[in-house]
Amino acid sequence: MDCNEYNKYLSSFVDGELPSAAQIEMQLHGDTCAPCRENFEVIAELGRQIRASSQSAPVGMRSMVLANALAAKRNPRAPKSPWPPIFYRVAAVVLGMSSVWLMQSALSSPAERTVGVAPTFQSLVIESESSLELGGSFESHFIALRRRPEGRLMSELLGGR
Amino acid sequence: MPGGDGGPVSTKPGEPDGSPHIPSTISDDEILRLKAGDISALDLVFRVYGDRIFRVCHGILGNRSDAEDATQEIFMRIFEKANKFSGKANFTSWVLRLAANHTRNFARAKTARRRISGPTSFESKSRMAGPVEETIALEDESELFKLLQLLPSSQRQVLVLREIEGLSYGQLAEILDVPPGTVTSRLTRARGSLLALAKKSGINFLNFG
Repeated sequence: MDCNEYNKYLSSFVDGELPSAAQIEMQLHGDTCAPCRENFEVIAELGRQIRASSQSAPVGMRSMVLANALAAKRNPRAPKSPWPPIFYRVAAVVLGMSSVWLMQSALSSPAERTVGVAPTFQSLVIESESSLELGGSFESHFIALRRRPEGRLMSELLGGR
Repeated sequence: MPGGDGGPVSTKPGEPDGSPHIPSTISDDEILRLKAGDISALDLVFRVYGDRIFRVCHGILGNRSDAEDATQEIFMRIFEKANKFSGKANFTSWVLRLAANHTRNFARAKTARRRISGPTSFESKSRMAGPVEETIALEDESELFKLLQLLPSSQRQVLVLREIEGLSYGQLAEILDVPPGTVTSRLTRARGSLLALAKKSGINFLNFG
């Protein structure tokens, strides 16, 4: 065994993870090679220092862990939704697209838009005439029409006469 | 049940809360009680594994504050996920695997936060400076943990589990869910990188202690 081979397997050798024959061969090389033996000591010391640097858990952590567990047991989290998160994203996109489509279709029909915003003059006259036929005075019905938002068109037209 | 720890579970000295008796085993009956949500069973699990998990978290995360948060979260996960312990694996392996996975995720989130806020002064110094003139105080143990933080997380994790928990390569492979050859190569690289970083920082392990 040469030094290159020794250093290649040094990490596993320090951990005692090589097959027994290889462990012995490594040991024999280290016994006769000072630089390789020093490399072994460095790796072993590195491990010792990591262990020495680790610290114990703080006093009181046990109580906190148990208190948290007790609180979780008393107030369990809401059960998880059976649907994956992607379901809600897709649903939101579909809902949004549907809303846009509905708005566009509503705006694309002029007749419906007119009916929805204000009645035509003709329809108001018919409504007014039918009210008069039921016994009301023209003036009272005219005032009532003016108070209605959709009656503005009527009042403007009548006022313009 | 095969999942219980048949033999004694070694514990590190130092009971976190100073209790006189440190249990050394988790019996099958206690695992069943843990699965049923018994707080006293969780107490026992903490007394067996609390200090061990904290030490691993401390090594991987590099500071006590993060290690405390991660350890508490890990025990909450143990409590919540005990039902998922099938008994196929050793209970200790199951606990350590859960701890390793959670700590890795914790470290990733920490790295992401650090990327947003910028590197720490120590990292800047380590990466920008050439051979460090000033020898870092060897007595300050946290300097070694700071160097550990500069390793890739996969290397840091395997090195800490090996050195602090003393796990065999076979156990490491099982816990980290990687082939044994990967454990060997990661450990070799981790040690090589750490020694190079230490040399750059003026730390000579042979003169240490």
